[in-house]
Amino acid sequence: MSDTLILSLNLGTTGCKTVVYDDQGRIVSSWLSLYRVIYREGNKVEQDPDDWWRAVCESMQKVLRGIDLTSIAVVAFSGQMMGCLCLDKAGDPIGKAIIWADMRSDKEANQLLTQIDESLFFHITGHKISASYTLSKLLWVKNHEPERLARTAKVVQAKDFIVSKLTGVIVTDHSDASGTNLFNLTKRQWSRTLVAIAGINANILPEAIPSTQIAGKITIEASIATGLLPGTPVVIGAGDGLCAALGGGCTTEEDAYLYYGSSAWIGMAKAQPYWEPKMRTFNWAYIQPGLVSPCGTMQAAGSSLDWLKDEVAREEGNQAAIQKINAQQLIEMLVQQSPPGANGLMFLPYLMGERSPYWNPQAKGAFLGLKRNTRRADLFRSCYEGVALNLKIIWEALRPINAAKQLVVIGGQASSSVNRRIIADAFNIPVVSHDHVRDSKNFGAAILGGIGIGLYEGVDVVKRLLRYEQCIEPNQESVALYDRMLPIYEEAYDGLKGYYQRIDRCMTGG
Amino acid sequence: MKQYILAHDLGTSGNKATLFDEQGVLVTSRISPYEMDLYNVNWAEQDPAVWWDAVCTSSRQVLSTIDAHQVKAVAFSAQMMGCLPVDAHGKALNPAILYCDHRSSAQEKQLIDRLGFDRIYTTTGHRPSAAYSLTKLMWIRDNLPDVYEKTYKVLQAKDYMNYLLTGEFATDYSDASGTNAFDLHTLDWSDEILDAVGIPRSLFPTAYPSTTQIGVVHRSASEQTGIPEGTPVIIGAGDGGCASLGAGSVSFGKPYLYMGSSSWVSIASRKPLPDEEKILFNWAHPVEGLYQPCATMQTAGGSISWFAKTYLGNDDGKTMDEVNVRARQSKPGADGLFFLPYLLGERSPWWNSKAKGAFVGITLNTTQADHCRAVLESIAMNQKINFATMLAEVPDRRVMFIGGGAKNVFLRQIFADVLGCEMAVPQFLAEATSMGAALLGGVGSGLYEDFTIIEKMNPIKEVVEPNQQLASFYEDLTAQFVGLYRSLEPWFDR
Repeated sequence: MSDTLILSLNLGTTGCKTVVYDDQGRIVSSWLSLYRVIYREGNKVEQDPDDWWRAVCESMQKVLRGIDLTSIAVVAFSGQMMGCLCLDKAGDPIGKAIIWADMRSDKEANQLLTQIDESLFFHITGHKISASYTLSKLLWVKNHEPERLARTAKVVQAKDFIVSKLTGVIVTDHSDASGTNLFNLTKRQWSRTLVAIAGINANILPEAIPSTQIAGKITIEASIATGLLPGTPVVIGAGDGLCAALGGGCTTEEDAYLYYGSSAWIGMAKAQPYWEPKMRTFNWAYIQPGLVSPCGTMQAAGSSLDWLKDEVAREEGNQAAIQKINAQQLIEMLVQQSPPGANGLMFLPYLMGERSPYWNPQAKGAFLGLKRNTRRADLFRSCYEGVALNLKIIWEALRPINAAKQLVVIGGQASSSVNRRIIADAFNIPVVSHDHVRDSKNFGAAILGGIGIGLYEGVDVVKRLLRYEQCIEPNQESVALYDRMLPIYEEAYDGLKGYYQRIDRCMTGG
Repeated sequence: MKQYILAHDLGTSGNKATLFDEQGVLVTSRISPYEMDLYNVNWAEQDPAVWWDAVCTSSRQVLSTIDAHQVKAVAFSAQMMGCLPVDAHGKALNPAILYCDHRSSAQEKQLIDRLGFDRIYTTTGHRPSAAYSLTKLMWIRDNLPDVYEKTYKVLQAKDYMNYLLTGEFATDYSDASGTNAFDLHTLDWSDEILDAVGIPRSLFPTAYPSTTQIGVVHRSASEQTGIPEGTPVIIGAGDGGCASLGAGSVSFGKPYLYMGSSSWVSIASRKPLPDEEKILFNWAHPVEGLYQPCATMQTAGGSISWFAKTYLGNDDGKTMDEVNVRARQSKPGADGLFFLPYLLGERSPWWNSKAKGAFVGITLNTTQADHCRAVLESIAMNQKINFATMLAEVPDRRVMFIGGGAKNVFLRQIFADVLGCEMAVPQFLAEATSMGAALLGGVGSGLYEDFTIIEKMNPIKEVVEPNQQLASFYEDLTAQFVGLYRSLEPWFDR
């Protein structure tokens, strides 16, 4: 075993995944500690920061078992973004964390739209105005729980809270700051204009530092709680979207990647933000100070496939249990029995509303084009293709800045060769995967940690450490088919847009 | 002495002979099956000799259980909208072209071009379409000139059977009203339409009320069928009309809903109900003086069986139970999930052959139970739209529910709640057409005093009350359902 190890933590939505890597990027040990997602009425989605902390401590103790603690050279973070956690002067949470999925602040987002031109806002922050982001959530706190805001000393993201618990220092990094709707993307500083419009105290925004910077060192108290040696450096790391990008090997302007997990996004690394004319995509501050990451995220990608597996494919689920195989594999055998185009059936994957490309929380999922000869295999295939076609809209939106010769696909769904094949054909680009598709966020964070302590010179190390495999070339016949399908697919959503609005009013009694 | 009516129901898949006694009690029945000849994508034919064989066989079978001389009259219910050309000796010149044959689309266009869509609809009560007899006859004229030249009369299925029994060429108002050539207001062939397309009216037999005795069984027919020579033959009606009678729709109002693989809703009215949207079509009712506005959806039970097989992955016979059990676990409105039951396009209310099925409104919380409920609710909502014009015309808020779908207890409640009507389920669900034929035979021959005997023949066994609160909920939901279809209408054209 190498004597230089990196401890990498990813604070996801369902749990904290903690991985120990050696300096060659190989996994030494790994542990996932789960925690609760608290769903409440009114589209509220929260988590308890104490749960995060417990999971961090538990998983660290698990992965560090049997490891020489002096060989842990650095601790680094990846974390869920766009949340809102208020900390008091002592650094303790005031109430629960409002997380990215929480959509309670729709009114506040609409209010902002009346206060500032959205295009101007887009050019400041790189993002649209939406209830998904920290700003409108903070405004919700301001409007509904002013006493909470009055006590607030800092507003932070998940990883920032854990870093403060470990080091006593409250900071954030540029990438997470760029997911708050309060950060000036090109200047890489908090936007005074937006702070003024929001009417909040600028002091509650933590200092934003580069993602590779050491935030502080493990304190005595943190050492007792986690088992780490006091003084171990802690690199702030980045938001999970950007850690995935780095872990996916996206480091130059010629790279592009698709993260295909529960949600999915297409991202790149560019010197300039991309001001997509319809604002369908957005921009993060990337982990290299000179780069931004244009990106488009859809909500329910793998989640749609999981829904398919759990609700529609119950028979296959039972079959798989009997045969002791993976249900998704059985489903994908059926997917392959349906031809590209699923015999005219289309699936709209808006099971959680949609961010890119439509930014419509009212959107819903649909199977369209059912006929009496529609088969079960067609139902299954249409789900896979529906996700791919929605991603294709994002892919086409980013086309003007896309210089990639191949697409790296990472995330849980990247292990499915059926998904990689459909993506290659839908996007008309060779698709590759590598040996870190399932731990790309942790892997990215580990690289940031390594750079932060000077173990690695720069981000280029990623391409050396990744082992690329299995290039899937697009099949031109299918490419032509998906090109023909795309406008029809888009028209289906266009047709339903008004309906989504009406049914939402009807169901909410508004 | 016992007396019987011999009722025949000549369908697409077979002929069913049934004996009813003087009280209207169903005594016995036999089915002689046959096939449909399907080819050239949208052609559908049957050899009328096959029909006759089936009529002979099934007649002999049921008559063997009684003294055949106790048969008071014979009457038919049969498939409609066909086209069978015969010569002056009653010899079939071509296989019968069936209602579901769509080869005559060029002739349909010609018909519309000559007279206009609206004119044909208001005159005949039906949209001009290749489904009806007239364009099929035009197709024969345009493509089989030899046949056309020899054609003496064009008959419907039951009319040909009646000819073979009696030697008389005739039809009844209900079958005539399914030709696209019959003026529903004058109850006579439309010279305007026939002149416009250049078809002589002499090719169509004289039309009579459905209870008319057109003749008696002659000797050679008696030898073949076992029906005694001289037995009166009542002309009968098309199966659509006979189903109405069997469902108890024998006087003004009396809405009913049939649900099998397809589903239709209908009432008895005093005038045709041509609506602006042309959702409905109108038949001459077998009860003289009444009309039968009707709306048919293509895939009702067909949607459920497709869903159970394809979506639930359920291949065994318990499909309906399975759907019901799960649908009960969902809530009214299926948590915002809608189904569009247009797996074969749709006739009423949209008349859009390009329409397709859809599930819309899926979220991560949408369950199989929601899907099951959405399928059932959507069928009911589609029929609610179809019923709207009709129910506005009549005071009745009790709908007779017949067909295989009526066996479904859960579906009865869904229909009651969605339609906001009582659903009345009679004893016999699958015998309506035979009962209708028996009624015509019985009333026509004087064995039955009037049509109200149907209340004893097919008594109501259960009445399901609507939940009024849900009825107003479904009112709103149906408006959303319409909006959903309208939203997707342009997409279906793609």
